[in-house]
Amino acid sequence: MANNRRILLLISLALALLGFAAMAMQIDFASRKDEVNQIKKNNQYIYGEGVAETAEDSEKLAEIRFAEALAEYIQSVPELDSADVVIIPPVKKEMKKITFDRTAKRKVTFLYILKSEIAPLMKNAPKGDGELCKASIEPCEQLVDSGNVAMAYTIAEPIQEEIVVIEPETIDDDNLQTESRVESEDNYQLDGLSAKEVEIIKAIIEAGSFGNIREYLVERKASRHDIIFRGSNSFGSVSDKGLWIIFDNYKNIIAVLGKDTATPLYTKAGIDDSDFSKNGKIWLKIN
Amino acid sequence: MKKIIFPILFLCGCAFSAIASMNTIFTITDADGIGVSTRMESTMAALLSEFNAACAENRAPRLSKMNIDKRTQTSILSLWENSPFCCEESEIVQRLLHVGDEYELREIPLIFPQLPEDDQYHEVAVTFDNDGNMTSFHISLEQYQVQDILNVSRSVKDTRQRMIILDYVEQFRTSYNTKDLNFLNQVFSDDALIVTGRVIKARPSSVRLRETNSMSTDRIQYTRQSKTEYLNNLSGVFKRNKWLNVKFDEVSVLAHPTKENWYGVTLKQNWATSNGYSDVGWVFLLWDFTNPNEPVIHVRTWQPNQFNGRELSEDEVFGFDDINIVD
Repeated sequence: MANNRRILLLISLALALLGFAAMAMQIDFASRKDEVNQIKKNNQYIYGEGVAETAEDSEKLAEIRFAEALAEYIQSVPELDSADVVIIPPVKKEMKKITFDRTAKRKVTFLYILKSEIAPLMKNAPKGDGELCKASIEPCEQLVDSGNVAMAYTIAEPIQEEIVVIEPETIDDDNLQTESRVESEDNYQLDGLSAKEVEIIKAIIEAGSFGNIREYLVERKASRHDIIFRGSNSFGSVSDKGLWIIFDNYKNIIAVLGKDTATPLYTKAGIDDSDFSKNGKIWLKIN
Repeated sequence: MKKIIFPILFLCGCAFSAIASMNTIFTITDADGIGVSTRMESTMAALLSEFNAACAENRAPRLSKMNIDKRTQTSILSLWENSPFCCEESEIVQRLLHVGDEYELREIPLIFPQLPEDDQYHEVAVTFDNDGNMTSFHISLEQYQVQDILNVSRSVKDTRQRMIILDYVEQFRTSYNTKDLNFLNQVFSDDALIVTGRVIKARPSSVRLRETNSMSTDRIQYTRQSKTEYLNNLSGVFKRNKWLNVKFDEVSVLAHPTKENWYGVTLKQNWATSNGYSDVGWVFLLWDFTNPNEPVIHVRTWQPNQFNGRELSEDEVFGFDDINIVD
């Protein structure tokens, strides 16, 4: 009889523990969710939220959505809209994060920042240090293809631009011919490549900018299934041999490198730097 | 002893029942100047709270007095019959979206307690007309899938178009779970081309499926059906099964290279029924969004995910290349 009572007591205590654990989880969930809801209702904040099966995936989603909301906000504010770029790292440093578990094995990540913090961050952002992203495009860290890939555009030194003004009367046929000759100095070394490789490389060069090239690659992959590509920080980050599309700090293509990265298949006129290790790049494999 | 045990059990019971009978408040943001947003908020709050009450009382939800059109009420009740659901949140805050001529609320979290634990969490999306009446209620794709679809958009117009496509793909998926033959009848064009691995459905006379090697019966036994045949067969499946659980995964949307407003949607379909049959296959849908309010599917193909012991490669899955569109 005493044993039965002990067993009954143990079962009751186990049930009670389970119940209180569930209740504690529910209270924790409710309090964090309430915090998130207060921020979502307050239009002074920019936020991004992600729900996924893993914490990593929920954070990726939240980052993408945060970046979209940030870009939308910048475009809506006249004094910020004129700014072509936003320096993401300072924003990332200042943004706050709430994470919690839902029932049914779901993880939630919520990223947010006060709108009033954005303008000072942009003004004080150190030039020449950090990732440079078009505010109107996408977050620096994004899914270019199937992997989680960082497209980093590092500015090693402040950009020096030389503006040459040519008076109208100096533009004559000779000048035009000179200009034409300069354009034709783009260097192509496409011998030995297959017709398909040449076709794709030429289409990429013609596309010109990162956005156009990415669009072309996405379409090609979806329609022809004959390429694999992804953004990369360094040549060593991809084990398989492939081509490399190299961009300048303005996200314009400046070179295409072959499987041996020392051999350029294409370099834009005026580009003779063979060390592209610090440039933004996309790895491309043609099947 | 009883003095200890009963209070403990009572407290546990209170904790669980509090969750089950929770009322939910719904707050809509980004709705400045939209007068009907309050009406939508009230409908959402009433609906989610009713789900919780119905769950706690083990009955079907009562929807007749809510601002929800009849078709959507039927759809919700069919979904409920498949598997009941509840909302575990006391407040939900969501942005109001404009999709086509309607308003939409997405990412509304629901728990399906009778499903296996890793399949219990689903989000739903609902649409409202300009008067604030609910016009659809469907299970959403996972957030990462939605993001993948929208990330590929090339312009603001393309993003809007993709939102509409996404919405219809979700409704299309939900229509199998809710056994909504009316929606399927509406969405398939009358002469749709329907092919399955067993089935492919043919629709408009303007569309012909090119016979390629990959389509030959030598490799997979394909069957062509008319819209009427397909819907009749489907009706039989609906009647024979208490519930169907259809899920879409790995969804990709591609604009047709030449036909404006035509989109190819490729997805992996997980099909399971109460009779124990289940399969996984690739579905290709050729959607025509020329009339965005009444889009139609001209082609639906199905292929098994695995054939001869191996998974189908990407280039074996049907797509635009396998369809010859005759103007």
